[in-house]
Amino acid sequence: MTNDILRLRDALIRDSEETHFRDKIKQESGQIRRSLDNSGEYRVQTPKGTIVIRSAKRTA
Amino acid sequence: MIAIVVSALLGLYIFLPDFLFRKLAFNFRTVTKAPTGRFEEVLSGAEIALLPFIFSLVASKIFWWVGHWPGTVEESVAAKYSDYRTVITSLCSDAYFHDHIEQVWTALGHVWFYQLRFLFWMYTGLGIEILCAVLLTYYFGSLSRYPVYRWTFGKIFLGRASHWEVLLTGFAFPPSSRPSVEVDAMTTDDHLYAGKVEDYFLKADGELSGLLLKDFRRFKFNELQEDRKAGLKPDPKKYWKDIPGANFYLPADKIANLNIRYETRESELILDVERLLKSMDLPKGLTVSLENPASDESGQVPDRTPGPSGDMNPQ
Repeated sequence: MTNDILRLRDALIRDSEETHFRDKIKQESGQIRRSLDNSGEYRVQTPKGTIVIRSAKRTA
Repeated sequence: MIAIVVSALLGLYIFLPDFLFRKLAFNFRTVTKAPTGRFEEVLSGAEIALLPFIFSLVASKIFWWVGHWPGTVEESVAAKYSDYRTVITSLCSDAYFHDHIEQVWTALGHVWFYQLRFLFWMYTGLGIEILCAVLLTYYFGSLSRYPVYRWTFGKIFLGRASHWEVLLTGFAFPPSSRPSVEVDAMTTDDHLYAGKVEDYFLKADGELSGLLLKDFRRFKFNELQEDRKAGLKPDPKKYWKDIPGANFYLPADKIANLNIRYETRESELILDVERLLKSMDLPKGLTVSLENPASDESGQVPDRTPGPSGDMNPQ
């Protein structure tokens, strides 16, 4: 049962949509930087809606 | 007489620590196994009591004040062992007890005192064990990726956790980003309900007995089908209907299947992303916002609606 609980935890974390978008943000740091330089913002889709990251220059 | 003493010792050294540990340390639902035998009960209790017992034993050897506080009996180590021998012999032989009644009562007083002192430190150790178990369980989501945790605490204690605790609560996630648990429950009479899991209940054998949902909705599947037959092109998202009431109990025997989702709360989602961005090598002064949040859609549940083929499998 112990291993079942730990395996279940691994499966939940691995398949969590939130984990996917976090991983996506981490992997795409280069792309985020380019987007912020070019358009001043970067968008990523999450199950809760679209996360919009804006640079200070764009916000101003 | 000896049976009474052995029972008392079992109670104080094994069953009571086990009882206290189960009551105070397990802040999760445990697996309820089939009726256990006496031997299994003793073994399970010994498993819990072993650590505080060793703690008390080792601490009394290392730290002088643990072995001599609270209170002291002014006698040598040899006299102490002699007291134990006297008590054990008197328990085994009534004749010895009657012949040495004064000596036995004195020895019994000393042994009683030694045992109380040992138990004091053992229950202190038990308190520390319970505190550690509570903290280690609380941080399961963060710590369970470390092999040391998995092979120690995970192996010893988490074998008792019910898999429903992992599935129906945020147990598996770090406390800082514990999500809300949302389910789509298909019932045996082909109704689809969606809601937030507020609580769940287990049967005596550890199987699910029911779910308590909040913010629940029912999918109007028949209406959708009728509109489709009428040649309309209905948007399935519009067919979720809020059900009046605050609590919705769904008995497990009515559930055909469950689609379980772990959703970060919107406010926490933004904080999470901000924390994530700070940990990355990105320019300073970034702002994060959420557009088109799911809750803006009049409480509709997005992307979880039956397909046009009419099947009701939640996606």
